[in-house]
Amino acid sequence: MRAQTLLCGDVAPMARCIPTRLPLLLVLAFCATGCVTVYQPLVSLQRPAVINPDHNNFEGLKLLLKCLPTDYTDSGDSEILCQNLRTLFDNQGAQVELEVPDSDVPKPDEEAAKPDLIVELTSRQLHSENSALQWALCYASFTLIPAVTEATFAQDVILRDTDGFLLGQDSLQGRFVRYFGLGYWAINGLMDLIVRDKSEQLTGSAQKEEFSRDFYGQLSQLVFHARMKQLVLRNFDAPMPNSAEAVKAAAPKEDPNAPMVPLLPGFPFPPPTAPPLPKNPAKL
Amino acid sequence: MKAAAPIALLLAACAYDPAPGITMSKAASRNLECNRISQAEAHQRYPGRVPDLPPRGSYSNIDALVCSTKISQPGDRPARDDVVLTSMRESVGEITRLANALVPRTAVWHVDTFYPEQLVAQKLSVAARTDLAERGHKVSDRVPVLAPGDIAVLARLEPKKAYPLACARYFKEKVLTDPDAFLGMMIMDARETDLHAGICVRGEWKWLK
Repeated sequence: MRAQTLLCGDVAPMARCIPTRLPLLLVLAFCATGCVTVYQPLVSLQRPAVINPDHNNFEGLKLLLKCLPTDYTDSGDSEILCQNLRTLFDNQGAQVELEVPDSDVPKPDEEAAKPDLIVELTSRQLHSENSALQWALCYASFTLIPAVTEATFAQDVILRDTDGFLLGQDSLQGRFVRYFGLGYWAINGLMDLIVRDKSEQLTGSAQKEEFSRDFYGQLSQLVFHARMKQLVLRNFDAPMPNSAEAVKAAAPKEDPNAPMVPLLPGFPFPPPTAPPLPKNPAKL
Repeated sequence: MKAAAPIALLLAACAYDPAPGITMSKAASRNLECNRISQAEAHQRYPGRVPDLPPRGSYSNIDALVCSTKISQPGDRPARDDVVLTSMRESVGEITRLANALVPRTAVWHVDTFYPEQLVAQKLSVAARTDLAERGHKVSDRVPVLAPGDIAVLARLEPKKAYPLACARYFKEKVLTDPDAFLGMMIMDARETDLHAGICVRGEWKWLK
């Protein structure tokens, strides 16, 4: 308000103010486009993933991905999700087929060999918030007060073998919060510039990479667990997914002073630490 | 002063949000376990902090995000140990539930865990023994141990052959005798965070999961 008074004067007609106000309005409009979107993993997504999706974890595994449309995701979204996941598991050595009802994705060949694992994915929206009052306050304060929109979602994953036996299930839940406004954007921009480490920065598109890393990591881990459980329950009728490169990547340097692991076999590897996650996972 | 009011309002609002932001770092936010629950449930759990539903209903659908901080900080322990220990109650509970259904009540349980970190293995074994005892079983603290020669042979075998053979040797060498039952929990691959388990009764090994 003080800026307007100085520019326009108390008695100046509105029309005369416009040329002098224009740069200010342009600056405001430019800055107001600055949104800050943050991602918060809620359930299961923040669990550490030990598997490294960059490695050949599923060599020769026949995987059928079923991305089922729901009220929250239409067949187009489901198709995009499935295509991204195909890339994820292709890169890890699996032979992936897709099934997306009501989409252009061709149905899997029924005469082809049956899949080893079937992964069913459905999405749900648990909560969404977009208050008109907040938007009104946001614009009334020249976007100093941010308008906050948020969405909480759940990605339900069910893993079965080819006979329909349940091998695992989980619900990966997360939350995206978007703050629209000059105030919030400016404060975070400054904090990113001056205070925060790169891994803690909020402006930019870091949230996409973080979500992709969490989601792909957890999904790879779930499929790996299901595969191992399947092998154990079938009394190891197929070779173990024993990629020496992947095992090596998942294991730390051996500590010569570490106590010997007691007894039975089954440990052809030293104690683990988390492997580095891929730097540029495919974006969802 | 007028400009400070929206900023104060903004900071106050941010302080209660568990999402990363001005007052919450990403690391701190990741260390929370959060669940979204309905207002009615939230009021039942936290009556002083969450108001009850209005008697005539509400125009908006209100719910609560309930968060609790994890006991350990990120990076305090290796990733796999963290996952295994965080989910220990559920994973061990599932294993003992399965074991409980397959073995008669008269059995005396012996438990051992084959996990690379000895401290974690001990915690898992203790958790399983406690759970079995709570289910009304007799549980022994003794861990059956085979002769070094047996272990040397078993260590070279695949899990498919090693565990059934070890089970047979336990009974043949009288390390375990008839009323005894053995519960083994293990991981088989460095990339796993999910425990497998099997039971050994009368010299026969059976995989549980």
